Amino acid sequence: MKQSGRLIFISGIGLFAFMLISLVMMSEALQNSALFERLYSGLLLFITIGLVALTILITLNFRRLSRQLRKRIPGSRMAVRMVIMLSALSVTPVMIVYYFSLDFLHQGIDNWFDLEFEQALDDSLELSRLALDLRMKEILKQSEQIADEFTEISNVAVPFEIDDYRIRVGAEEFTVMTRQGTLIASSTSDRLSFVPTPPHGAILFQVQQGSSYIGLDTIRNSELSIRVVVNVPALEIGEGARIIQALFPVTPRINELARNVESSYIKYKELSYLREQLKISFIMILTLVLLFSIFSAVWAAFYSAQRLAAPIRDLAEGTRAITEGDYTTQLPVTRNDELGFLVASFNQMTRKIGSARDAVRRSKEEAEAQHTYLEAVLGRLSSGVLVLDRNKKLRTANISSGKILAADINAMIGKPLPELVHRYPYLDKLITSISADLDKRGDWREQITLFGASGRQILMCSGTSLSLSAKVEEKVYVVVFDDITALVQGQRDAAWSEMARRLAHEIKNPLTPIKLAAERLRHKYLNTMEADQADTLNRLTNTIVQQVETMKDMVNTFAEYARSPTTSPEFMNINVLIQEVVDLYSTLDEQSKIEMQLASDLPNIKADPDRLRQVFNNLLKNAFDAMSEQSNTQLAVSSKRVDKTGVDFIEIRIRDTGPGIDKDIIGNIFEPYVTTKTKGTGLGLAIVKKIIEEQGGIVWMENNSDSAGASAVIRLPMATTEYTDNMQHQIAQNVS
Amino acid sequence: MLKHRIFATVKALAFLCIAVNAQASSVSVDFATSTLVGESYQVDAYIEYNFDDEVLTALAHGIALRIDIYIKVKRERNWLWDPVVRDETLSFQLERHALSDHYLLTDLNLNQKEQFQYLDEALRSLGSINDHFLFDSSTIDANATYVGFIKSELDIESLPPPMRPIAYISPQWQAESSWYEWLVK
Repeated sequence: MKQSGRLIFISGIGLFAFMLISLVMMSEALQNSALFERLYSGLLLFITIGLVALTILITLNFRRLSRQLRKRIPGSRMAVRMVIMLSALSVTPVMIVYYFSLDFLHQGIDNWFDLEFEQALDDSLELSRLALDLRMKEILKQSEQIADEFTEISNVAVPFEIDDYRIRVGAEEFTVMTRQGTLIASSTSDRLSFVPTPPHGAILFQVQQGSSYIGLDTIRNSELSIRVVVNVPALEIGEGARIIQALFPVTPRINELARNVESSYIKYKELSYLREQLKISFIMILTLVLLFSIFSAVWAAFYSAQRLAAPIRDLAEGTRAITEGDYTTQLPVTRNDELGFLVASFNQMTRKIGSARDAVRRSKEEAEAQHTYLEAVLGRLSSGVLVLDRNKKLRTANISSGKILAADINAMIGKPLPELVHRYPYLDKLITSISADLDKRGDWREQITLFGASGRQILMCSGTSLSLSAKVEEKVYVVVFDDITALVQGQRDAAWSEMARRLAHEIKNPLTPIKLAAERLRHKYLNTMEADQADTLNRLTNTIVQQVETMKDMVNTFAEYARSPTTSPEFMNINVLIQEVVDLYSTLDEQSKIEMQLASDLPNIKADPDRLRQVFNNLLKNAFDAMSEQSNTQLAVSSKRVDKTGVDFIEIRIRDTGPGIDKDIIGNIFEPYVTTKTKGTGLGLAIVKKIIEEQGGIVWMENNSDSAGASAVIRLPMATTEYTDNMQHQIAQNVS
Repeated sequence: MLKHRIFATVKALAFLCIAVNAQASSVSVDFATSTLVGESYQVDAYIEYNFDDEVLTALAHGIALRIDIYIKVKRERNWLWDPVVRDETLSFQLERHALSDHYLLTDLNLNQKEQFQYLDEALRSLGSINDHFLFDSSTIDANATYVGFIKSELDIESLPPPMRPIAYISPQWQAESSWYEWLVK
């Protein structure tokens, strides 16, 4: 229970107790209780204030409940139903009791007043009066006789005679006075009281008028006594008129009976007079009790309903918090009943859910970390990795897979493999190989050769299937592939180099003796032979010498191809080198048309300019050779900076309008002795490729897609640029 | 039964309405004066009581009436409030003695009773204040001005509890005079 709720509860109980006590006190006050009689008005006021306070309490509770109902606060409807039910259960019997109590009240009070009883009381009073009247008549007659006797007693003798007269008539007090009330003499039986009780003015006036007075005196010693006042007849005119007053006691028994009759009569008369007021008062108290009971019951109903609804409201709030994801909510357990058990169970449930959620979150975080780790590993992996689901849809692919396949693989995530083929047709062979019997194959390994825009590409693929869980739906297929084109090519180049070196060594050595022998033979026998024979000898030896020279050139070329690179890299502007080579060709052949598109923002690269000059020479020569049989030739040389797949490089493109390259050899065009020309050693493009690879670049030939002819494409990495070197140098300095 | 109950309730309400709308009782102070007799100041006053028939009926039915007479004397000051130098309440109880058919007037302060044959006589005696001692002349400042106040009222709180709620709202029972003031000489 909250502090305010406890305060309201204690205040309500206190108010209830005080009002109950007040009502009891009021009821006692109405029944002539001297203890509470003086508090009656205050109690009435207090109860009225208490009822007003209860009304305010109920009104506040009603407003609060109405507000909760409007806001659709959980538990409010149940509270309303409970208030109505409890109020009805308590008010109905109270109203029935009130109804019958009112009836009993009216009947009961009316039954107090019986006509016969009232008549009996009136009669008893009258009887008392009559009984006293007889005594008073005797006393009056006796007093008048005594007054006659006093006629002859002078005022001077009165004090001496008065005691005898008092004793003779049996009076308590006997007084002789003038008609004006002046005391002449007095005698009393009470030794402690010497002052006589004078007659009242009205009595004196009556006696002065000549009438005797006799009546009951109620105030002397709180006992009844009979007061008689009579005139003393005057003998002579002019003599002062006198009166006699005598007080006669009433017997104790008569006194007691008269007092009882008087008391009962007065009490009955008072009650009879107060009959309607009593009814109103009792009805008022009964109504106050009714209102008090109803208000208390209604307030208790409000209080009980709110207390019962509070845990349900808390539970609803807790449930709402859980739906909003707050599992830390703990509800206060303030009761030991079933609702308290329910709240405790709810708290236990939220704790368990919270723990489970934390465990799930932790495992999710771990999974995400693992996923991030795997992504990082896959991202840095040089091999291409593709993950397919059981429907052969691409689920995951790393960066290298896109680079190797020259495709935007990330855009194909979630799409089936045939769509990949549709977008990148050159991957058909790869996809076909991967898809074939994927379900039935276990671990597999296969070398696949592709023919893409960049030429032949050899991929070494391996794959396996993984089960992420026991469910079949969770089965995935992992395909890992490496581009081994360069490796295969390297091996082939190495083999060619070795062969060239051996050829150069084995062939070059006998060539010189052959040449020398042929020259000597001609020199020795040419002059000794006849003319026709000499001519033949001369022609044959010349042929031998020329062929030897040719073979020497060939051997030298082989030696050039085979010799280890001795590069001298330096920072250079590639555009300057290109312009220089192009200018040379323009000078040699003024008919040649060379279109230049060199990017102006190219940074310097670090490379061997002599070796690159040889590259451009070979490529331009090849291009012109390719266009030698055409009348309208067009050669275009361009350079630009390219940013693809996150790597910057410089691309140089030499584009001719020749017949192009046959698809059968475009993949092997850079291999030695692969050529479309009738002349040449077949090593020009092989040397170009060798030099470019020495500089860390790549070169390939491709047929033009928009026109006839082919293009030689060179890409030189920017990693060797001056700018990058400076940056690396600065970074190294900062680290140190 | 229901008819009887409704009738009784209507009757009670009618009684209440009649009680509220009836003529009022009145109490007025006709005069009040003080005189220096020897070394003491004495007050003489006459208060006239005209009780409503309802009050007299209650008296005739044995309901005792308590009447209070308040006497105050204040010393006048120019700048501060007037201090009360004398504050006295005279309480009387008037009742009817059924057996003797007389009226008894009891001085509750002195516990003295007087018996009157007629009510007028008793009310005159009740309203007559003769030679009532106020204070000794030696106890007051001869140069200061003293003003006496007197009023009287019927004490409703002394009525039987059932009568009080009605008496509080009924003008018949609102017997209270206004304050009468005089210069104490």
